[in-house]
Amino acid sequence: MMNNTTIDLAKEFNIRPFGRYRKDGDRSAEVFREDLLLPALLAHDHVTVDLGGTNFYGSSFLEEVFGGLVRKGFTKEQLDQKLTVLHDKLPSVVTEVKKYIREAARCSTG
Amino acid sequence: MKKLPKDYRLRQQRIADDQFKRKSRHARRATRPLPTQGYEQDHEQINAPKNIALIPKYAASVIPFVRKLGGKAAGDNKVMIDFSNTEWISALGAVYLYSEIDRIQMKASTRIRIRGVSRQQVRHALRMTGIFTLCGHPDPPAGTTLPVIRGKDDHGLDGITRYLMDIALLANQLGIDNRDYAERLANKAISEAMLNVKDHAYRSSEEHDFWWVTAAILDNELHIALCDRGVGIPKTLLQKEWFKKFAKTLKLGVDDAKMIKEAMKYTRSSREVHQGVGLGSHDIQALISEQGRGQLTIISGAGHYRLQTQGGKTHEMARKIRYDVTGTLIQWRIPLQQPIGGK
Repeated sequence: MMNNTTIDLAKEFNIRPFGRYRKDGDRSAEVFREDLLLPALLAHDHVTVDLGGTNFYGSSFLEEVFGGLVRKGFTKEQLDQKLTVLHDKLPSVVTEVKKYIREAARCSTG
Repeated sequence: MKKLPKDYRLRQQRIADDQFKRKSRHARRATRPLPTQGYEQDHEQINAPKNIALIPKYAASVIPFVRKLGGKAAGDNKVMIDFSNTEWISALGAVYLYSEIDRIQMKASTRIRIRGVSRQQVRHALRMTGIFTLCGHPDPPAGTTLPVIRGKDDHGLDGITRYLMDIALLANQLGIDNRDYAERLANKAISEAMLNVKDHAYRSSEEHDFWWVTAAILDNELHIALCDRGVGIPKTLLQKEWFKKFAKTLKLGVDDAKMIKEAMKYTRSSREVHQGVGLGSHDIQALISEQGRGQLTIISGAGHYRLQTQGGKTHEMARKIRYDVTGTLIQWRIPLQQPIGGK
């Protein structure tokens, strides 16, 4: 039986994420990725990240969260299987996240 | 000609007298002097230039004026700015002036004073951006201008975005159907500019690592202006490994304007964006490029860069300016689809 979980970023992390790195503050991408997302991915077969609930996503934040997963060792294929990203009002955000994963994977293979 | 009855004539005269008094009161209110009594003697006066804007032909007088202001006010000296010769203040000029006065007053215990404001546009700009209030002249702003906000990180961003969405009715005015998309487009441009200030603009030793931002509807265009008083984009770029390699191939030398232009071009190409490099610049440009019309101006160091989009076509301009601007100024100008009252 699949072990799934959902992370509602706006409710469980912050309604106004900001910044890339931990030094940028506790709303940053690195904090979200390292403290919430990575542990969830390691503990579950599938993780859904719901980005709805806020429109306040800078591109730097999204790239560091999701492109950063590839830099942390996940392959694109693994993320295709284990990760689903949703935004009920902005499908462009989901497209953007997929682009960052794809680009990060391309850079990692050289 | 038949003479009108006396009481009718007296009544008409009274009406005319009242109207004259009302007009005189209004005229007096529009040009009443600022309360500077007692300040002239012990304040050193500095004259503001005719046009306070950062386009190259006016920047040559604005930047030395701002530097002179900083120099005169150093050491808690009392300074009064005389705007008698000033005819026009742009949004970017206002935020730049505001940031300088704010920085001076943060460091010193003195307050900068203002006098000689005679032109209506100048009074309007000084009132709406909050410069009057900053200098201790109570003249509350109202209408379609967001007074200058000083901040760090992204504090205040939701207020700015709310202003844009409410006052400018951004989605409709930009011709974008999806309100959430319009909100994100505006928000990410400004928040990425704020993140750039946080991460790159200031040396770590700087005590006051602020940004200043304002927004206004002027001549049926939305103007958003943001500035920081840090080291400037060209100096920051020269410290980045990706830019050093890039600049070498293009032989950019030390031309600040060309460096800004080439960095903007580099970050517009999504295929070249490696590991998130340049995403902030990409978002800053996207507010103009993704909705197909408008103008982005970036002034930093001795470089003045402009990106203009209209009818699907994009034009770029980069030129050197005579004086080095301390920090970085960014302005977005977006034509609105429908006139907004109270502009």
